[in-house]
Amino acid sequence: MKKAVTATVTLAMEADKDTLAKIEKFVKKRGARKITYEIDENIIGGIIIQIGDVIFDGSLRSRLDNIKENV
Amino acid sequence: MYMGYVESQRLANIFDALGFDWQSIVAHLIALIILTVGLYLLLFKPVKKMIKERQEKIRKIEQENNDLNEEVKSMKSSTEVVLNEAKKQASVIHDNAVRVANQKADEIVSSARKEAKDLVERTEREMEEERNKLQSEIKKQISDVSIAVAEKVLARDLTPQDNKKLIEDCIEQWSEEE
Amino acid sequence: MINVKEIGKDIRDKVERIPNKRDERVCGRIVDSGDGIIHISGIHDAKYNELLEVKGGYRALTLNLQEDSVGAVLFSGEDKVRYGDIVYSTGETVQMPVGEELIGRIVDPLGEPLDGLAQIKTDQTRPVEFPAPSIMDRGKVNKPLQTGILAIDSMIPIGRGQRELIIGDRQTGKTAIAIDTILNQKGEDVICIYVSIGQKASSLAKIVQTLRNAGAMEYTCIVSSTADDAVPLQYIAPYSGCALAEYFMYQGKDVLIVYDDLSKHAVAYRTMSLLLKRPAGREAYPGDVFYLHSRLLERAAKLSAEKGGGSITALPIVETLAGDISAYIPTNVISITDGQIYLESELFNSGVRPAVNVGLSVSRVGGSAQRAAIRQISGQLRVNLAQYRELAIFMQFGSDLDSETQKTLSRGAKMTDTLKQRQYLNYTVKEMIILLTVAQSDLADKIPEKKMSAFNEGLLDYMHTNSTQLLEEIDPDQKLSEVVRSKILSVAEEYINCSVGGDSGQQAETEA
Repeated sequence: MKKAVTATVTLAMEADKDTLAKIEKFVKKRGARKITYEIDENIIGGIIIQIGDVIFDGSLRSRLDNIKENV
Repeated sequence: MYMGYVESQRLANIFDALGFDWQSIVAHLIALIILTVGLYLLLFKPVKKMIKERQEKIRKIEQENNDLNEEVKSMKSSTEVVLNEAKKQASVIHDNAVRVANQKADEIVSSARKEAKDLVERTEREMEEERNKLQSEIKKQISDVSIAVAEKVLARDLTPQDNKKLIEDCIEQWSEEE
Repeated sequence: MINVKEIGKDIRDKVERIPNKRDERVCGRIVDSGDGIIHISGIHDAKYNELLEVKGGYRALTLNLQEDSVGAVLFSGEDKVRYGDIVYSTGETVQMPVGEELIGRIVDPLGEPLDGLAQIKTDQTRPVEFPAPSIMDRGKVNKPLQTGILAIDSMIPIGRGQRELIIGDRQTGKTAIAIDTILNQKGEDVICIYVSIGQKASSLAKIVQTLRNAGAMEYTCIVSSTADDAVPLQYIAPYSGCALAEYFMYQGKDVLIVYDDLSKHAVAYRTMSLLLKRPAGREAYPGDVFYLHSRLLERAAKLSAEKGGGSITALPIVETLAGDISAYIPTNVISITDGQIYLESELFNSGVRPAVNVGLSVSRVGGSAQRAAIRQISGQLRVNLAQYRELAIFMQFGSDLDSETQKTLSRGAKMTDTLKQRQYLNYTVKEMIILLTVAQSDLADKIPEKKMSAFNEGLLDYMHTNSTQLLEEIDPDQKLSEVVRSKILSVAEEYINCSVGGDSGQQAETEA
């Protein structure tokens, strides 16, 4: 199984340099070497990082969906 | 002998004087006697025998009649006994059938009652369910609306600082989890 | 009525208490979708039979694990999923919610209610695929499972923990036997599960109605996937039912599970396999169709006392075409089960109902699963019926018969009539003892041939109303003593005299 090398990061709006640095550090620790950034307003806020099969979903959209499902 | 002959001559003379023919009278007497004896033997005795036989027969018939009467009486009484027996048995069967039918009727009634009770219970439960469903519907509607409102608010009012905080918190949390 | 403030408070509470869902999940994307099968790229560590969640709330089951894709079958929403949709893995195999709450309910194979009542919330779930009890955990089958059907309980007895196949053509009464067995478990402390696979919804509605009316839903649960359900749901339906049964078995209870029917189950599996492009074998079934049923039926067992002594008795139903029991699926299932009840349509059409062919039907558990009195009485029954059948063929030639043969023939015909039984009319063990004793004794010769069935029903009624004490005396777990036997025969003679024998009695009198 090839470990994926590209990470896809989705943001709701542009982030500043500190944030980007933190993101890169995290992503590198998880083994990815290349980062692709996407801006998608639909996630409302927060961040979604996909490295290969694993997806880290910290978006507000998914939090709201979670609330909706669990009430 | 000489006297007798004379006597009879004298009788004969008397009879001649009276104008009877004494020979024919004697002959007639003898004929009468023969006839009587003959009749007695030929007629009287058989007739008597016949009459006696007749009487016997009649007696026998009377006897038979009596016997028959007796038999008929006894048969009648035995038939009555049998009829009574049969009536008794019929009433036993009848009672048994009635009892069985009653028991069956009871069973049917109680099972119908139970069915009705179950139906009522089930309907009540279903109504309860309807109510619960309605409640959940309302709940869902309320939460959908609230979340839609929250979305709109967040989308519009989220500041870059908030966003930055969100992102950095997430990353910290995920890094810890490793 | 409906308290809106309550609802508001409820929502607020729930919002406070929402668990934070795991943010880190394994996912993949759909690259191929069609016929209810999706191929997913990603999810490299998917397990076989794992449950996947597709965006939109649909669920799928992994069945094909390949180098660069995972093949899964959708349980629902096959017209809603699209190329590129995200699929999350749940990390566990398919689970079935289990618990006492399911008794009396009608559910689908994933635990969703189908009877219009509340959602089912249970504390426990069990995996749908679970290994069968090991050899050391099993005990000997020694308790009978009474079906209430005279022909079966006397000659083809079923024990708790046995698998007995009900096989026959369509419309021969297979489901009727299963339903009668379920109805007879009232008061026997046996939990019944009826799994309906690929049946018509109307048939299932009728069965539900019957069970409800007889009060059987208090101890029965129905797991159903009708013919219009997605094929994967039909595929896992029997396994879900078995998972529910295992929950009760491992608690030490006795369970009866009916699979109606496994032929449709095999067809559903075949559909799925062909769509997954697996190679077709005999009759186009995939190569592992034997394993499909063997792993299901091996989970029905009797546990040893150390493990709680519970049991699952399985009654799988298989439909044959034109009586061909040498087709693929019937032969497979016959070799897995501990015996079969073979129903013939000729017998059914000629009025012998239940249409059990006693000669070909077998129960490999046999006498140890019968109560002592019935075992004693039914010992000769099978042999006598076999003799009768042989002679009955000669009867057709119309030749003159000696009195012995005539007696055997008339007794055999009366015995066959005694074994006929109406649907939903179950006999208790004591009633069976009475009927068998009378039918095998010399009293049977006094009853005119066509009146045997009416006589039997009347005799039981008579006994219930007049001889309740005698009924108390009969003990099914002991051999029938001579005293009790002669009492039964004398009561039967009384009844003969006051019912059927009345005709012959009158005739005797007029001759005198």
